[in-house]
Amino acid sequence: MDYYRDIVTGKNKQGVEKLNTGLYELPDEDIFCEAVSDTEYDYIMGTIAPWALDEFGIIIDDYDFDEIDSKQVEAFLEKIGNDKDKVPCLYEALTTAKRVGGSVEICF
Amino acid sequence: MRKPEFIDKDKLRLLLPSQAEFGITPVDLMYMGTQGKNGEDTHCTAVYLCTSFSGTPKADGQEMHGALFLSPDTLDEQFGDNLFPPFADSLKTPKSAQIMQTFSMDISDGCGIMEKDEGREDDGPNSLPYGLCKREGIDTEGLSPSECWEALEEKTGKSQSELFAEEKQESPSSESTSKAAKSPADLLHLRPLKEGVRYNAYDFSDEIKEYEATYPKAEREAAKKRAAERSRFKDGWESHDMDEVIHRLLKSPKIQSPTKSGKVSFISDETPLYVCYDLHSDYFTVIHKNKRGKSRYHGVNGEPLLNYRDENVKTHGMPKGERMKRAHFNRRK
Repeated sequence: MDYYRDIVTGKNKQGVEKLNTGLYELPDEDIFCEAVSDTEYDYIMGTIAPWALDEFGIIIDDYDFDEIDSKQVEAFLEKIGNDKDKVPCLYEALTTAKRVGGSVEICF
Repeated sequence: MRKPEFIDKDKLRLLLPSQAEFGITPVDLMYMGTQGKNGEDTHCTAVYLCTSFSGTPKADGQEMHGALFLSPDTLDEQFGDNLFPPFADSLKTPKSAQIMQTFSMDISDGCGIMEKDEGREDDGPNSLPYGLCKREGIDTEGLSPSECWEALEEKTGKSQSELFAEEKQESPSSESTSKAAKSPADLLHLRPLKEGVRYNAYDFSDEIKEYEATYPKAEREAAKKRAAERSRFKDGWESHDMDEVIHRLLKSPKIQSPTKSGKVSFISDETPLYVCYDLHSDYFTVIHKNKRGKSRYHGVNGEPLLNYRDENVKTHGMPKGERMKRAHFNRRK
């Protein structure tokens, strides 16, 4: 069964507003929405997800959704550290969210 | 016990063979200490306990064959004479560690299980640093593995971790193995619904057995932990007849074998919606397979949840908490 494992964030203030209010329809030019590769998925589930749950109570899981609050974005970037090549999609979403002050939605 | 300074390098040395030969990446590695000393016929071995890893274990079919999960006792009894001696010795350590963890003892001081060998060296003559040295034309005669690494770093101008990363990229067996290991679709298959079964009261015992037989305990435990966290909110979720929802939303539904995270899906070829049930926390969701992001989560009647219209037909965004509540359902039994 084909199905996307997406990471979503606002590209700009308009995108952040749309995500905050829920008034959007993907694809949307103001919203970053990328599907992660199998490799990135494995890394997120093996390394980021257990840490995110212990540290912030954020649940990254198949067939569920949760989000990284804008206040937690910096901590996630720190956690990724030098491994940004392993999580290109998440890293881009986090840096974008940091720049525009938005949250990151993980929709696996 | 003092933590040795080479611990990170050792961890790195574990990653490549784990990924190349078994297609897994160790996540939690607990340093247990070292065993033995280097001599003419002996090697000092660093021992780690791995309690969590990502990927699906699969032998590369070249250097490793027929990967199986076996207890240390079984290994010892059935294969004791044929085990690689340092590995056979290392089996003594996890057994001790398990006992200590059972009693919640602190193992950081070593508890006398093993001695720290300051002069440790590792790796046999066929190991990675020797192979890389040979490739670079470095004479390895009389060199220890760590001296090999130093020679390599000096000759190539690259760090040990960079050399590891390059070797990993160049290794075809590593690539093919990781692709093989990253095929969860291979583990998933569809089968017809059981006749006469009402899924809102069904205990999913067969699916739980299949789940336990398919995925390693560490992955199941991690999924269980996430599900337990999610289920903290269960009290606020509506209860629905899952059997009725499945048959109302799906035409000729089939049941899919459990995923790594413990989800069983009811799927129809004729409808884009499917119903997903969590084995760990006994709740279900309705998902649209062609939609992106959070908009894929639908209500119990198949309606989208991203936004809603009020009585004046004005569209509003669905607040996060409300959407979460409306996208998860308890089974009405």
